Amino acid sequence: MKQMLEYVHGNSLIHRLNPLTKLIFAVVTCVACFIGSNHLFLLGILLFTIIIAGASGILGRAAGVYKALFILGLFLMLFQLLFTPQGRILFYILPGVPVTDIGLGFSSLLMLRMMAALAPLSLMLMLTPMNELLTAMTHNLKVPYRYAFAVVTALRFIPAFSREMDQIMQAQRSRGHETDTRNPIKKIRVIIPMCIPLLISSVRKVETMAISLETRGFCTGPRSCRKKLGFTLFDILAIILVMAALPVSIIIG
Amino acid sequence: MIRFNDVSFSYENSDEMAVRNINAHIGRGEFVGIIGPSGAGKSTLLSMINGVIPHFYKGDFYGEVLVCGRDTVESTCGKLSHHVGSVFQDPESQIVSTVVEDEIAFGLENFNIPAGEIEARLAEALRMAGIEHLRHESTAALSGGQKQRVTIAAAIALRPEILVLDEPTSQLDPRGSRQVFTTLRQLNREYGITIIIVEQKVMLLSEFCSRLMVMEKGRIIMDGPTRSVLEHNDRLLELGINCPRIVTLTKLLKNASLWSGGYPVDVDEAETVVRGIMEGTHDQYQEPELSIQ
Ligand SMILES: Nc1ncnc2c1ncn2[C@@H]1O[C@H](COP(=O)(O)OP(=O)(O)OP(=O)(O)O)[C@@H](O)[C@H]1O
Ligand SMILES: [Mg+2]
Repeated sequence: MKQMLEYVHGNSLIHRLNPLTKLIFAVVTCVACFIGSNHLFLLGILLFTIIIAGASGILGRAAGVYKALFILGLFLMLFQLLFTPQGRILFYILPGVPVTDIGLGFSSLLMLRMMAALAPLSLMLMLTPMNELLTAMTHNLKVPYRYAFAVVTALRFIPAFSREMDQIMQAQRSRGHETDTRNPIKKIRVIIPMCIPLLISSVRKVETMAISLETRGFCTGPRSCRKKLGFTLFDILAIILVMAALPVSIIIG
Repeated sequence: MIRFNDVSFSYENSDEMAVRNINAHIGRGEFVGIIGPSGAGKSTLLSMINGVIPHFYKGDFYGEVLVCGRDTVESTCGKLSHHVGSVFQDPESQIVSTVVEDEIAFGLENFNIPAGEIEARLAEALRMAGIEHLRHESTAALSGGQKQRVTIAAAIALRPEILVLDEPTSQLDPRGSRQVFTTLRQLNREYGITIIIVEQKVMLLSEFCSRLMVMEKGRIIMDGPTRSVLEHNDRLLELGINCPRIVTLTKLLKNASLWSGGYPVDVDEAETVVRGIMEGTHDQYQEPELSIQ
């Protein structure tokens, strides 16, 4: 989970794209995934994201993301299967719980859609430094700095939380609490008591951070920007390529 | 530059005064160390200089604090940030960016400094804090000590008139702590930046600070030139502050009537004292005046 949203430093052609291009890529593919209801199209998008991860040299880190998405997707699929009794019965998972052809088609589509829609978003975050994302939002999209900063900071806090969670888990483990369990119900029972220290420490963290912002002139007036981010020919080509996914998704629909 | 006029403060939902009856004046270009046991109110005192109290932490505020001629109650944290740079106790949560260089540029961008100058100041701050090699690192992946250096670099890049630092070397090794103090001394001497630092390592304070404040239970109980404060090593020891060994040594020499001068503040001076005694020609240090409240 913690690698899902964290920037991985690199210097590939894709890393050097304008952050806006990457943002467009994430949003457009995500939207296309919801328009297109075709297994092959979604699979194609998924494959496309894997190619991008490979081309930018972060396949190793991205593999963890795909694995997490796959597991999540599998749960979603199973759930959907159980609640779609329409169609021709193919086989029974449990006595009295049939799997139908419509159910299978529908639930696998759901799984693919979930994976194909989230993969580009997480890829975008892994390939764009937060600061550049911030610049793209404020300068190109004209989002007020205050709000753009809030969004980016919220994104940044997710891996920080998960790191903190790991730390608390380790602390509990060293005190003899059993935390490693595959049983999801037990896991929840283990996690709940940790939420309170996590909550307290994060409230304190947010407070210190707010103070740190205040004492460094956050939003006290006009703001300068260190990096100028330009569009290159490669950006334009990439945007055209990504935009093409939209009409395709509508045609295949 | 900074003036406390009979200042007392208690945090809201706490009936005890965190600091009480503070009267002090800190002039331009001073290098002040603050020391005292946990809960003595050191961080509270610093928070009154950068305006975090009363603008962020609310409570009962008595007296007045003047920073660069402005009453902090009437100013804002944002306005004061143009004069006062701050480094807080917890290095982790005061970092607001994901990459080291962005963290240091953050304040500069907020102050609307042009891009070219940001680059120059960024490079200088990285060099002064000794973290040039960390420039492109992710802030989340740094060690505690490295994070502390980043927060110091971010503060010095702003070139404030006043720099307040709350235990900025707590997670650094002895060598790293020394480097930080050396950097601060350089800032103090070259740019005339007034430095106020809370620190537990008394040896470093005694060597680098020109003035020492000792706090206990919300009060400043001693305030004066470092040398004179250190003479009260019995009192300091009662507070759990271990005096530098050279001070203890000098005390022993004094008790044995071998030495009647002032206290040395670093090893070189101590050496002079001991050599002086051995050669029987001790030239004495002047004892500056000390105020004890
Ligand atoms: N945010 C707060 N809310 C309420 N009380 C506080 C708050 N911060 C500090 N205090 C109280 O104010 C007193 C002084 O605290 P302060 O943090 O200034 O001490 P300190 O000298 O910095 O200690 P340390 O060496 O542990 O950092 C303590 O009694 C503390 O409990
Ligand atoms: Mg403190």
